[in-house]
Amino acid sequence: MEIKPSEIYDLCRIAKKAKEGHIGSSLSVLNILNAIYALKMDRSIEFIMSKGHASLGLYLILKKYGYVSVDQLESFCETDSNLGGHPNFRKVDGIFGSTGSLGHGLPQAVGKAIAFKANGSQARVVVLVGDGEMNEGSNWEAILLGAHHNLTNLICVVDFNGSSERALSVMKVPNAIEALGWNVSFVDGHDEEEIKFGLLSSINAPKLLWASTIKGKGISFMEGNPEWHHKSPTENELALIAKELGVA
Amino acid sequence: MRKQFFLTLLELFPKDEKLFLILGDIGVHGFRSLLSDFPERAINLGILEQCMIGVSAGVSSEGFIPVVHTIAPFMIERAYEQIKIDLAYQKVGANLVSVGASYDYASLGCTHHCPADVPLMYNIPGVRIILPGSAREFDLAFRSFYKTDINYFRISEEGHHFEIRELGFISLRDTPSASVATIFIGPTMRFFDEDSINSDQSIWYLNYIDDAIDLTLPPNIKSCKVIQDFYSGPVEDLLKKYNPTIIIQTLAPERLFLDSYGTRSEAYERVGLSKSSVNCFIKSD
Repeated sequence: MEIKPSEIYDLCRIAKKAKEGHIGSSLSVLNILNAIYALKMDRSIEFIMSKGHASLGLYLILKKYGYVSVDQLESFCETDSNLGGHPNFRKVDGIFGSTGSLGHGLPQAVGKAIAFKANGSQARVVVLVGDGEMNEGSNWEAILLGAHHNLTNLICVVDFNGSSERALSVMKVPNAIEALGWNVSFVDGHDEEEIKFGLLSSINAPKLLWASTIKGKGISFMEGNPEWHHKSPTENELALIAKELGVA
Repeated sequence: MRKQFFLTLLELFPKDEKLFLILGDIGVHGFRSLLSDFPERAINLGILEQCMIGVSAGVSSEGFIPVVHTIAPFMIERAYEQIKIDLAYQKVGANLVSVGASYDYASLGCTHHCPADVPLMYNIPGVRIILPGSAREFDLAFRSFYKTDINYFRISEEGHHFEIRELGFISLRDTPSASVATIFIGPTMRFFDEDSINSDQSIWYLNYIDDAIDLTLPPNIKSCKVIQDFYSGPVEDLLKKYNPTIIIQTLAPERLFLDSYGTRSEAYERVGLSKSSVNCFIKSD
């Protein structure tokens, strides 16, 4: 299911209404999430959204695949909503993990992968992390474990949208992880077919998909602009977004 | 008490296929048979405490019952956020079993001391903190609780030798005319000296706390004296909740870095916990 311009507009409109939402990251991960959920429909895949701040993007995709209703999506960040600024898996179907603090998803994914092996399950676990999140030490602990236990049922997708470069460069991270024994692939994070191929290709080691993306993808004045990391649009900006997306 | 942990789990593990042992490179010798006989669900993960808690959450979410074991400060203080979020906030069960309570590793220095673990864990909703005072109590508590919720079993190197066969808030000597209750927490019962207690004092014992435990004292009790080997806070908070007018005096370690070395007894004595100091505290007004 292709992501429509009207859905990107809805994401921005809901962020405006809620005065909340990490739009830049939500837009950088949309194609990755769409690819993962397309595969998840008929395969045994557990998904953990470790970069929980991109929750609005996640909820949009969960709505596409029937886990979340229109009303729920429209209630984003309201007091009694099930959908907050970071996901709580006890309140929303289709995910595992109540994330927000970074560096928590990959270790839990390792635990799931170890458990799958222990109980003979053929399921895979896919975890989406941010590039800045790769600064976290807990992730490196998990990477060592993934290699040591040869978790061939574990796939870590990194949303490489460049966020980390202003603080701590992660450019050499893929090589380092490959040197530790993971299978590393570089994909265009906005090419869903390429992402699906990367997710499905068989491997003999845990897999890292280094997905290059554009923060704020699809809205020209947001693309690559760190100002849009955590910001909701004004009325005028929303009108510009509508015009750019061709949404009436 | 730690030996009992090995014995209890070695007995339960083959019978309960949901049990999943995760070691932080501690207890490897004691559990060597499990590591070799059940390699798929008994793992020495390594020295990576934050990830270890996350892994236990992942394992638990797939239906296993994790038992995570390492030294108290590394499990509770280093991996505190993982315990808070991955386990408690997510409502994912696990059994955290520590060694090295408070100043047990006296000679190893401040890095291995952990008198703050109980207050820290108390501040996480949904965690049961088990403070066994003997091997028997550990065994009873583990068998009673391991299948449920999030349990923190705090194993002490030194326990007491009293025959306590219950879990909870236990009256050891209930004197109807008593206005003062002396409350020993877990291993501090080893400091109990029968001669130090006046006949009009009642004696209570507590070996676990959780969100549901009721610490109501009889109406004749107007004040209590609490003896504990961790930083004060949780027990006093619960006593106030159930006994709003009660006067509470606490003998607990001061908040300080104990940067001297020496024996375990010396360390506890330096923070005010010895038979004589406990006696003195009990007899004081």
